[in-house]
Amino acid sequence: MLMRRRSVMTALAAALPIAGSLGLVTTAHADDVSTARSLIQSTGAKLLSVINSSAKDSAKQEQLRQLVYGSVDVDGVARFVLGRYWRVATPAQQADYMETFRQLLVYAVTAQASTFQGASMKVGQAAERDMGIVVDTAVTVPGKPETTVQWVVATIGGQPKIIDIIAEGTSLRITERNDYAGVISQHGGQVQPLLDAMHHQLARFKANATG
Amino acid sequence: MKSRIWAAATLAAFVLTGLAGCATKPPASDPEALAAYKQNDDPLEPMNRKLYAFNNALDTYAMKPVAQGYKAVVPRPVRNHVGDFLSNLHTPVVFINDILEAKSRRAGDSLVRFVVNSTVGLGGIFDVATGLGYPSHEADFGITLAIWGVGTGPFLYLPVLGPSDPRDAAGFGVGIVSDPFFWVGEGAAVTALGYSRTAVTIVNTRADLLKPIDEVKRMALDPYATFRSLYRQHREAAIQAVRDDHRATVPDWFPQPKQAPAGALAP
Repeated sequence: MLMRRRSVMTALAAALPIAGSLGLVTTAHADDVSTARSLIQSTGAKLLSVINSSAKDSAKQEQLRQLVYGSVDVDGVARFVLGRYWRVATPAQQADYMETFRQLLVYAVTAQASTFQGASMKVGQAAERDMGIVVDTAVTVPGKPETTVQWVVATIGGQPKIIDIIAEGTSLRITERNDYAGVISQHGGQVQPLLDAMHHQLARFKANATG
Repeated sequence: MKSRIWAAATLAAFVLTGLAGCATKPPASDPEALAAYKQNDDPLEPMNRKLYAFNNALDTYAMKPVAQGYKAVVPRPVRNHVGDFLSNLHTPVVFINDILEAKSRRAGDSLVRFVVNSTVGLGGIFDVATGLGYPSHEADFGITLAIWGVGTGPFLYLPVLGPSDPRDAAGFGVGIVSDPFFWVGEGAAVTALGYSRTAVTIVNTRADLLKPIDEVKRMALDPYATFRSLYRQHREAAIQAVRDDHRATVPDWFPQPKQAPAGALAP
């Protein structure tokens, strides 16, 4: 008993300097909050200018692809979405998953683009929370009520990147994670059926894009 | 009115008796799978998936075509006014729940909305109140129960009604009987009006959701799991919005207490 108490004390003592340095980290983050806010401001403006431009669909898709790969932590989101099944997957399946996810994300964004035709966005406050820096925005599509969209930003490899989009309280990456987990659990915990479904969907998107 | 109570009771009996079937709980040797199972909180998943398939068929062959027809005939502005009119009829229920949630500012918003929209807004056809700074908000007895500390309970997929949980299902029942219009008047005309209101509400709402629902079905690899996730997150956000509404009941000209911290979820 005494031993255990002592080890708890040691652990606490060891934790103290860590907590202290964490304090330093959070004060350094004040800069990151404004960086995150300006990232959303510029990304949002670029996004809307692509959506509202009169360019051809194929040109728009290429612009959106560059925008997504430049401002979103695509690999991080992909890993988050697969969650605990990442370790179940073989290295070949992991590579396949990553590549397919990257492509699907661009098609998903392109498919959503038409819904936001004529939209405008107001960037509100930004604050640090558990999941990252959350930037509040209000998106208005003509003829529809204003929507609250929150963008979650984290510093990945020294660069601010978008890691999640929360529309009216529903997180895109959590929804996606539950969707993919649904497929895997319906197939006895196997990752391959998910990959098959992803390939199938990608083929469908490609067919729609060319046809 | 009585027939509607019967319809609700039959529905409840249908849910409680038939279609049994439970998801198999993962063994304790697989803690991650067990954690995921608990997080999904969907022990009736096999039954729920069957009901999802049933609702999906019902929607594809009945509700969606009707909504599409309605959308083709009725232009967007008219549909918006129909929506405003129906939501005004529903405002008393929102008001009652604002009171039960002990959120006086929200109750005040609802009261102003009902009075302004019923008069200046010509019986609710025009939503004047939103422009005056009184936008609509969500409140129902399911949210009220959550504020009172009642737990969510396992996920339920109800026939016809769709995604729910025991708390929201109870809330739905209370929602019907707590609607003042449910108790107003007698006779065939009133009953017919009640049915028409329900029917128009369903069709108008479904027409509004044509694109979002199609979009989810097109993009999701497992639409059932996706709808489950969306429903849960949406309800949790609605409950959180009530919890985070700390607006004080102090007149504008009086020294104001401190505002909610920056970055809080917008009401």
